[in-house]
Amino acid sequence: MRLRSLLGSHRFVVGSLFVLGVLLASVFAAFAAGDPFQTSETILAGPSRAHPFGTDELGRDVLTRILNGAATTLKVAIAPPLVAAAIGTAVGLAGGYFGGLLDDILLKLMEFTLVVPRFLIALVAAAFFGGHLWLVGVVLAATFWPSTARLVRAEAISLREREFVEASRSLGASSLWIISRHLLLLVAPLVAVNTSFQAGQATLIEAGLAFLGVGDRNLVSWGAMLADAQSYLGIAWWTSVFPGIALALMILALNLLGDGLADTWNVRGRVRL
Amino acid sequence: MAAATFVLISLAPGDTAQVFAGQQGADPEYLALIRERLQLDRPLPYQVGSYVRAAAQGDLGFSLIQGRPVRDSILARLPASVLLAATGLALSALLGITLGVIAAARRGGVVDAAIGVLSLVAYSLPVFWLGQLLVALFAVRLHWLPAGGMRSADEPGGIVDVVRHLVLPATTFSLLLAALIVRVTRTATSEALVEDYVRTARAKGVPERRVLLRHALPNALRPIVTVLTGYLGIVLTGAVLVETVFVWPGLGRLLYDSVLSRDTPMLAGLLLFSASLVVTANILADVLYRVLDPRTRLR
Repeated sequence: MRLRSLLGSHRFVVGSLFVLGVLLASVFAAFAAGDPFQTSETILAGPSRAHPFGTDELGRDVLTRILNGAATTLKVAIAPPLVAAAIGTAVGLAGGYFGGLLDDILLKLMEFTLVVPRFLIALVAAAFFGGHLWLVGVVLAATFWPSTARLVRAEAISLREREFVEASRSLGASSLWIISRHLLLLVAPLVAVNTSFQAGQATLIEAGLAFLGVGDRNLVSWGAMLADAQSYLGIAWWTSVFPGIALALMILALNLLGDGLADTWNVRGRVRL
Repeated sequence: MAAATFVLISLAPGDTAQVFAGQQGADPEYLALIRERLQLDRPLPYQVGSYVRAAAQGDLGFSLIQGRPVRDSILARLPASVLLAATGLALSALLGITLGVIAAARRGGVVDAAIGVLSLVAYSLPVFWLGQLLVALFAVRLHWLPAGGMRSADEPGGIVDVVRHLVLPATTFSLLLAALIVRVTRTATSEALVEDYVRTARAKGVPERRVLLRHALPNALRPIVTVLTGYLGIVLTGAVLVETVFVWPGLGRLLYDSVLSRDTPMLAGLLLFSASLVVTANILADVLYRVLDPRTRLR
């Protein structure tokens, strides 16, 4: 039922198909594509049959690098938002349902993360401790979950007063049962939409850090490719245009996915893009 | 807040004295002297305490790299940041609200769909890539506009010169925000358009244009104010990427430099400044709600 209505949303279909395509591309890159660090004599060569997207300033194939960079983007786009969704949902449900001290601590935490922009925290952490991908992931998950928790908390507070919760309790259901059997299912759409928007943000932040030169230097990153391209804008447009398109399409796909989910489950407006 | 910032930065690996000495393997006696002068040899709680006490009096300490008070450095960069931020915010508000209202008026139509897709695409563009494309096109190819900086080095020609330098960064900066405002405006105005007072106005024969601008839009302004002031808080330091691409001499660039050079006092000062800006923006939002919505003035 739900799946069918989802498939009726063009945005969701287009978005998820693209993300799936990137996933396949990165699997393909891991096994079949060439070495992204392989340098050659043909530096800054335009698109040709041998190098469809041209080569960069070290003679590395741009297409191969984009395919390999997909894995970096996917890791950051998928893992931290999912971790944040799990923690945020658990804490938000507990805080909203029970109230009390947990709720107070949660509110204070959310205030703090609102004051310092996420990108700044990630930038400082990456510059001081080295921009390992896992570190960026940890910072993202740590700064994403409070906003997830806030959404879930607000929803849980309005849900716990509803009659079906009272009915369930009068039938002898425990709090754990009510939370896991009723509330969890009802906040799930909200969390799903929020998580896909966070995936888009995570992609953007990873690329931004790599662009500023504080990313993981051992990995191919679309953001780092754009940083390298900055010096050759006038003579080698392909070094900037193709990685940029890949990055923009990836973020667009994740936002489309979130938009499609929001439309289908009618939670538009409650989750800020 | 200030204390948390300071502790967090102090915990980072790397020896401040080493950075200050400017070279690896500097003379140990020299390093010891630096530590003593900068009070780096004192225990951390002492350092934090004295920092917070001074910050409360408006003294943000001394930059390790620039060799002058942090406050002076921030004030020197502030005008450029404010210029870029103000232009960007004004442009995006103008563009965003206009397109958002048009989309709401034509809900479900082709124009609405087009604006919807466009805003989503604009929102998904990484700012630094958009900046690169604009530089490649307008500066490198067409030579219409300068690629970076705020003034020409050879002939700094007053306002016209600065405006020419401002066009590309301000455009880059405002596109993303405009996309966000379009979406918020469209949703809020659409919601207002199905309210009873709009139906009443229409029934009285008020022209559609007036219904839209005088009845629906004012009631949609609240979420727009929320977005704009929310952005205002992070705008100065949030412009790190744009300022890096365009070599704009603002606070974002200063922040980036101080991160790379481990200029702890500068970084702490900037983060503190940024946090106080967020608080100010929140207060401003509350004031604006009152101005825009008479109902909130009663209490």
